[in-house]
Amino acid sequence: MAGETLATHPLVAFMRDPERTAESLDTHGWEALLRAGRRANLLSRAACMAESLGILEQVPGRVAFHLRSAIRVAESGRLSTVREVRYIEQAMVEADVHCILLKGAAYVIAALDAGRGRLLSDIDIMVPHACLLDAETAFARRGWMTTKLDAYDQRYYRQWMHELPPMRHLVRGTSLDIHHTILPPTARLKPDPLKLWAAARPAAMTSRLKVLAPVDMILHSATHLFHEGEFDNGLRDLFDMHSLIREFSDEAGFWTSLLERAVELDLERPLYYALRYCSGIIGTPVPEDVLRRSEHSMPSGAMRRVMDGLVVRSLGEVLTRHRTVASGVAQVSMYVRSHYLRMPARMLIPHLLRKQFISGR
Amino acid sequence: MRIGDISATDLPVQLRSGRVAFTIGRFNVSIRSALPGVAAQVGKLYADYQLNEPDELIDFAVELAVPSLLRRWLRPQVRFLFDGRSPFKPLPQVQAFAMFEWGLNWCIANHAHEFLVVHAAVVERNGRAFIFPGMPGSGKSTLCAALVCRGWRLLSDEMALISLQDGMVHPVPRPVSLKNASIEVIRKFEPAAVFGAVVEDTAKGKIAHMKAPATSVMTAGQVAEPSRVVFPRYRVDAAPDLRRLERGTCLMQMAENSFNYDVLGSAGFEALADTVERCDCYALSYARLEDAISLMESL
Repeated sequence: MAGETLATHPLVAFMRDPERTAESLDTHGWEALLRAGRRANLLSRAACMAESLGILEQVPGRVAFHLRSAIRVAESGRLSTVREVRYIEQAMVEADVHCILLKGAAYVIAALDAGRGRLLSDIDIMVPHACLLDAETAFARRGWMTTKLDAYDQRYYRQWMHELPPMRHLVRGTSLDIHHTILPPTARLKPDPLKLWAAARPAAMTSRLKVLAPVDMILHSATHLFHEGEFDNGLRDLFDMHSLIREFSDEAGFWTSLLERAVELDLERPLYYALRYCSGIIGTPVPEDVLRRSEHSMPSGAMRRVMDGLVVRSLGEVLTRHRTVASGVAQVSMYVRSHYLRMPARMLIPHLLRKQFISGR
Repeated sequence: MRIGDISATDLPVQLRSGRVAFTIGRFNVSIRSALPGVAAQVGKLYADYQLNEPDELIDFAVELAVPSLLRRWLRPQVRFLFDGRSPFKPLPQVQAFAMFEWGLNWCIANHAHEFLVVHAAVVERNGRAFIFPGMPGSGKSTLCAALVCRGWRLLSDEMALISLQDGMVHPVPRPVSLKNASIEVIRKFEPAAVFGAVVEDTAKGKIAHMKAPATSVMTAGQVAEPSRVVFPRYRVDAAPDLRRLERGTCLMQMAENSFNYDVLGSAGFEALADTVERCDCYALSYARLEDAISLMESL
């Protein structure tokens, strides 16, 4: 894999090993770190890592200024996430609906390493499919309005997707994505949401809200990155998984249960990708035999090379400065691919044509 | 070496290659652009700024780029890029230099949270900084330009950077942005003032930038103690009037005019309370600049 150049990028090196990297960076290295950190939405993460290791004092003053600034952004983001989650909890108590916090909000509320300095653009939650309408009504009563009012989008979301059209709060402007499962019903992979519910745990600050079990968090992040979303925040998502793995893998039996759970949830392919790129690009410590076992579900050689190329180019574009034609093609390919994975071609082609020429992406 | 030391033929070449990096107060800024209009304006309005050495860290690297080949010919546009990303929609190309100024304001307001950043003009005399917070149209830039023409030191016409560490105001002296009728007012007030190109029909109307005095640029390393907060209000027929403002009222109004009060939370409140505590606060109404200046000199 051509990920070696990415692995030595100052931002990646710093996120992997802040203390050693801080000693070796020169002015241009620091500058590359700051710029890539801003582009990848990772500067606040990096800054919080530096702070918790107590190395802010050793960093050049001009760099420390920007890291301290990023820490303030992180803290204000954390406070607004906590506040927003309290509002969400109130709405869910009123509707008597149980709810799982997903992704960034879960990392922040569960006070995980992955949540330190993690910036959120929206909050993702999951509610049982049968409770969707109750949840939506409760949120609407408390000031969240559904966006994407175009009839096509509404129908697209409600008929084919694993989430409602995003809601936005009228006053606070915050965004909320309400999922009922983690992949669209039309996708080839069929993770069973009931299994996720059965293993979910209470979130720290609340009774009503839950978070996914540790291994499920990793699997969901992998699924989201490699089978669902756009790749814009690809590097940030890889580092989410990196931090989750580092935090959870001390527990005895972690690796076995991760691999077994992937089989159980039909998410072996996304786990394969996650382990491959986390270890290959950002150097997450994954035992050799775990990597080998995850390779049972790897795609064919040609497909693997295509995917490697797409991932490395997409991430390379974020780390280095400019978009190239190849990185542009890679981004669009990742977008098309994620759609291809969630719906059959007879649905996909009309949908993408419509998005391109009628309503815009 | 200063930007003014680069020859008029070399400056466009260096701007195109992205090598022009200079110091504005505590920030190092680099600018890259192939647009000839930008080179002319930078050469004129930024002549006094010290160029950075190659090994200095650049805080804000910005670029003014042409969005696409087509846009070079068809209603030409310009795009502002910060770290290779574009936070705004493109503007007509004649507004390129103004876009640099607005974009740099955005960069500072969004990335300098070691300061409380208040939307205000700041000038200094005898070691005392006067902060003029103001909504657009309050006449803060006009008053600021006039005071600066009378020898006050310019710290900023757009933002007061109040340090969260020690409460001092840090200068970021840049060209003063004047709008509509203010441009002629200041030209008449100080015929020696140097102006950049006048651009019509921007989002803010007609605008032009007045060059910051060389002394303000060269002394931008010296922080200043906040001493007065004055809320100016220009009205055609106002009698000159200066009255004390309650500190609490002043604090609330400054909070409203702050760019990053919400990000800073309690640290922002404390910095603001500390600033207001150090300052005498006033509301100023004026119609004639001469009146406003003598009132300010009386403080």
